[in-house]
This record gives sequence, structure tokens and C-alpha cells, in this order.
Amino acid sequence: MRPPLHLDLLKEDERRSSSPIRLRVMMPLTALFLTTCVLVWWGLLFLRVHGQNQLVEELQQAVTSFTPSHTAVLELRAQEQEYHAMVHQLTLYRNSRNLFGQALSNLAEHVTENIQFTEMRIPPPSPPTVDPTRPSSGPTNTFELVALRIAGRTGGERPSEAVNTLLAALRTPAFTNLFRTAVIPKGAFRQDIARNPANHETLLFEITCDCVPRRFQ
Amino acid sequence: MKSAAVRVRFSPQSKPFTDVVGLELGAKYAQGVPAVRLQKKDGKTELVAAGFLDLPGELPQHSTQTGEAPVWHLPRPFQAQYAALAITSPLAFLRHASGHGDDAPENRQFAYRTVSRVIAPELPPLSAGIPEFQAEWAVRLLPEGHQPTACSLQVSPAAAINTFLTTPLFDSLSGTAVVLFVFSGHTSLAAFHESRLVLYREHPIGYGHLREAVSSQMRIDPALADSILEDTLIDPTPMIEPVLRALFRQVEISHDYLTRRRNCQTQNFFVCGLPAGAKYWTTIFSRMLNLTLVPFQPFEGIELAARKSSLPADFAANTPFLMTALGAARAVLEDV
Amino acid sequence: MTLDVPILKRLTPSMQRSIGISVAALAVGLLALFLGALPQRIAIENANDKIRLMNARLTQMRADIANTDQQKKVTGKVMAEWDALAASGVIEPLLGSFSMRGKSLLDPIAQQTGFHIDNVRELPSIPLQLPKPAPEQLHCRQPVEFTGVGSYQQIAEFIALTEASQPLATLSGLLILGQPPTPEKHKAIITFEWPAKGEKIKPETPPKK
Repeated sequence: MRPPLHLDLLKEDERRSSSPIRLRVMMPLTALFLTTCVLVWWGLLFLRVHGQNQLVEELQQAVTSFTPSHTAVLELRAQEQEYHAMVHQLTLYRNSRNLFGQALSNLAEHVTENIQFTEMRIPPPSPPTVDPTRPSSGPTNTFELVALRIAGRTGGERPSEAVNTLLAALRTPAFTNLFRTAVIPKGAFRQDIARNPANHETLLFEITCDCVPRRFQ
Repeated sequence: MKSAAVRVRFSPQSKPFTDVVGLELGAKYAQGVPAVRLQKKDGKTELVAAGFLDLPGELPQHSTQTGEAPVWHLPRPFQAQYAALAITSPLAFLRHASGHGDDAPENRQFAYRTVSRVIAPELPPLSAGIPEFQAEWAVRLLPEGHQPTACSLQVSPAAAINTFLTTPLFDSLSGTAVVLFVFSGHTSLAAFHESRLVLYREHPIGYGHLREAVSSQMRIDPALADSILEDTLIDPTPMIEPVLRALFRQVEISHDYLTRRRNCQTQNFFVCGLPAGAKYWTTIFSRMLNLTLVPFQPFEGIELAARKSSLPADFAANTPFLMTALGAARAVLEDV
Repeated sequence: MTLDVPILKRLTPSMQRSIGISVAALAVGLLALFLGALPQRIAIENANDKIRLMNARLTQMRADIANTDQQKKVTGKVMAEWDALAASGVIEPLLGSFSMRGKSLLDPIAQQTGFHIDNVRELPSIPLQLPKPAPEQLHCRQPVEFTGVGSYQQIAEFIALTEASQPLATLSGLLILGQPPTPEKHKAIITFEWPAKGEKIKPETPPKK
């Protein structure tokens, strides 16, 4: 089909839409509607914020009113924790306690006549190890070594037997709850030349007893 | 920098029209405003409704007569999406532009709205125009937001030509064809050569003059003249031949012009728009020019719509009066 | 999509007005949205967080306050436990001196056992291990050195009786030297240590319940 003879005298701006939905009406209406929705939403949000601020204020007042009582409870709790910690620390100390009294008293029963103690020593504890970067955190070690050294002399018949008997006694249950080991260090059993060089019958001895370490636990 | 992609447009229509009602404004028929509604479906044009509508208002003939334009609400069968308006007015024109004469811009009494188109390189452009006040009155008839709204404003002679241009008959023609479009007050002559419009003329003789001749000589009402022209009892030839001779003389001149000056030997002559008396036209034409004049029915080749079409009972008898409205609608539908 | 300005100029005045109104309304809407509504939303979220925190705090406060009597009992019990423990052997200086305190504590025992105390000396304190969590008020080991004379039996009894009557006194040092001129009497340097108050510090990690 050939194209028609369409001499159109209608202007562009005279063309109208047959749709009841006119763009030039719907467009601003839609824009105004959207804007109105946003404004209404804003208003609602504003009211909500206002309400929430009031609620915050009420909560703040409630917190303030409860604060003195709560502070008292917290102080009690802090006190409890402080005393508990102090008790704990003292308990560490108490648990580390070694009792020597009974052992020292029993020791005399096992000392024969030909044994004479010249020295009994428990060396003082060495300074505990402390973290130099955190000196306030206390000693880093939880136990302390304790030793008892007995020096003496013996003579008469079978002096070494007497010392060995004493040594054996120190390894009996009467003492082993305190002394873990009892040994005569090498070279610690020798003749007493210093006092009477002519007297070869007097022997000097040393007994070293490793005691149960003090455990601060 | 403009993108070659989609550009925002605010015009309501950018795709081909598929549902158009043609309306002829200013025809002043007693039956009403001629209206033809066409739909295009699957490439085929269907007739949905045709008839005469009782609509208020008359096309003003002077700029002082415009006043408040009425608002037309068409009956439902004619509520297509868009309307093609064809103006029938003595103030409207369709002619080859020459720049001289009474219709020249400097000689017009009113502001005119014109459009021109080059139809053949060797011919002056074809120009159509209507007074601005008539155009403004017409476009206010169909308000926005209701169906239909105006999508085209044409002059009636140009609209009528499309009834012939858009038919299968036109496609099948070879050589040169001359078509006479008969209106009430004038007759348009359109010559086509190898499917191009090569000549357009208007002659101030229409079937209204034949009616006038019959009614005055027989002393009857002009409304009865059509029945005389259709009746076989009375031979109106002596009454109408003088009128037709004058018209056919002009046709002969145009035919001669086409043959000698345009080298177009006319093989086919058609006439369209005759409400009555076609056989007398063909007889007188044949006698005078020794050529055959074939009546052409404007609705030829148009199928009725599948759904129930709204057609008046006397549709066949009124098809000549609906020629312009049909042509206006077809011009829009086929203009892709 | 590009807005072609010449097209705008070709629009009808009513369409231009319509576009103008639409743009103005949208501009107002966008301003209201970004300057009004969205900041308010953020404020609401912040307020919600605050309310949530305050509610949680209030609930905790109420729970703690409801527990006041129970807490009082617990704290009282711990305090009593501490008081008992402290009374059993945490020493405090007497007239600023731990040696004076030590002498005051052990003189009766020495007299009872026959051990004769010649001298009492306060030694430098030794830090005491800290529990976790550590208290603010620390305690330390305060050694006091007692120098005296007595028989081995008297010395042993002195030590035993001190350990029995002073629950927190610990023998931390001992030196018994036999005296050749008086074989029955020995010189003894006996060091007992007691727990004593040390420095007060802020603990590194405050205890939380």
C-alpha cells in the first residue's frame, strides 16, 4: 500500500492524551503526594523522637532515684570482694606454713650420747622472684624451698654408725612429713682436725634435710 | 552531549495509530456530522462504526464567530482513542503552491495555518491551509482525558484523496488514473501516474449544483433532487448535462495537459462521492470525452470489524457523504 | 536518558508549569527527607539504643537492690571470716615497731619455756603471693628475728609453743649455735614471720560480678 496523503495541520501542543490520567496533572499530584507523605512521615518521626526523649528522661530519673541504694549495694559487693581477696591471700600464707616445733623436739630423742650438734640452721628464704615490669603483682613463684642443716660432731665407738642411725631416723615417718630428704653431702663427714689434730676419733658431719617447700597456694 | 538513545518526549503519542475515528467538520449535512471509525488489526483495516452524529456547534466562517467552542462527547461506538478531523470550508484550500493569487499569504483576510509537501520533484509543492480561528475552534472540540482526542487536522479534499490512495484498486492500477472527488460545492480532480499524485485541480462545480439545477427546473425541493437522479422514470440528463459539460470540459483540459505536458496518457477515470445519478455522470462523460468514467465506492475493500459494527440502516446510500471522514481516518491509520 | 532542553521549551505553558511544580515539590520532599526525616530516624535509633541500655541498667539496679539483704549477709560473713583470720595472727606494729609487737607476743612464751630472749629485730618484709583477683589492701610476710639463749629443749619448746599459740606465725629462719663454754646453753637466732598489712594498691582488673 502506498503512503497516504497526510497533510496534517495539527500543532504539537494541540495533541492531547485521551487517557483520563493526564501527565500534566498526575505528575505534580504525584510529586505533591510524595512530598506530603515525606512531611507526614517527618512529623510522625518527630513526635516519636519527642516521646522517646521523654522516656529517656523518665528512665534517667528512675536511675537517679535508684542510684544511692544501688551504690550502697555495689559498695557492699566491693567490700565482699575485697575481704574475700584478703582472706584468700592470707589463706595462701597459712597454707604455706611448715611446723618445725614437733620435729625439733623429736629430733633430740634420736641424738645419741656420742653425737653433739654444733649448729642447726634453717637459712632465711631467698627474696621471691618478682616481675620487674609489674612489681605490684607480687611474687611470681608460688613455692619456696626450705632446708635444715645440722652440723655436729661424733666420736667414740662406731661414730659413723651413730650418724647413720640419726640419718635413718630422719627418714622415718616421724620426720618425713617435714623432711623430704636427709642426706650427708659429699665430703661432709670428715675428721675434726681443727680442734685436736692428734685426736682422730672425733668426726665432723653435716646433714642436709630438704624440707617440704612452702607452697603459697 | 545528547545521547543517541531514548530521549524524553512529552507528546502523548509516538507509536502508530490503530484506532481512529474520522470526523468531517463543516459539512452541514442534515443528518449530522459524518463519522467513520476504523481499527487496524493484524495489518488489516476494519470498519467499526460509521454514521452521522448529532453534535452541537457549527464551524465558524469568520474570526468573530468563534466564541466558546462546544465540547463533543461522541457516542460509545465512535469512541476511538484518537480522532482525525477534516475541515470542509470555503476558507480552506488545497492547491499547488504558487505564491500568487487570492490565497497568497499577503492576500488572506485571516491568519492561516498551512502545511506543504513536495509530491513530485517537477511539480510545485502541494499546500493545504485553514484559517487559524477555524483550526483553534476544531481542536477545542475534543477535550483531554476523554476518548477520542484529536491526532490530525486535515482539509477535506486531501482527506478524500486518501479513500482512493489506500485501496487495493489503487495498488493494482498501472499508468495514469484520474479521480474526481465530488463534493457539494466543488469537485476535486486528482491525477495519479505510477502511484504518484501528479496533478491536483479544483473546480467550483459539485453535486450541489446538479441538485440545484434539477430542483429549479422541476420546481421541487433540493432534497428530492437525489431521488430524481436515481429514478429511471425521469431522465434528468437535459437538466444536468449543461452543468456537467462545464465540469467535464475542465476535466478534458486537465486530461489534455497530462497527455501533452506531462506525457501521461490517462487510462482510467474514476468518480467518487456521488450520492445519486452516477449513471448519468458516466453516460455524459463517455459521450463527451469518449472515455469511461467508473464510479468508485470509498468503502470498497474495507471489512467490517469482527465484533458488532455500528452502521446505520441506510449505510450504503450514505457512503458518499462519509467519504471525507473515511479518508481522514485512513490517512492517519496508513501514515506509519 | 537525556532531557533535551529544546523539547522543554516547546512544551505548553501548562506542561511547563506542571513540570515546575513537580520539580519544586520533589525538591521540597527531598530536602524534608534528607534534612528532616532521615536525621530523625537516626535520632530514633540512637534513642532506642539509649533506652535499651538504660532499661537494662535499671533492671540490673532493681535486681541488685532487691538483693541488698542477701548481699549484706554475704558481706558480713566474709568480714567476720576476715576478722577471725586477722585476729588469729595478722600483726600490727606496736608503737610503730614490729619488733616490739613480736616481743610482746613471744615474751610470755619465752618465759614459759625458759628460753631467754636477748634481742628482737624487725627484718625487711617479704611480698606475699597475690590471689586472683588481688585485693586492694595487700598483706606481706613480716619476719621478726629473736636472738636468745637456751637449751635445745627450751628452744624446741619455744618454737613449738609459738607455732601452737600463734596460728599464723611461721618459722622462717633458725640458727642454733653450740657454745663451747656452756655446752648446755645454745645461742639461738630464731626468725618467725607473721602476715602484716602491706601497701594499698588499685588492682589492675577491678573485680566484676
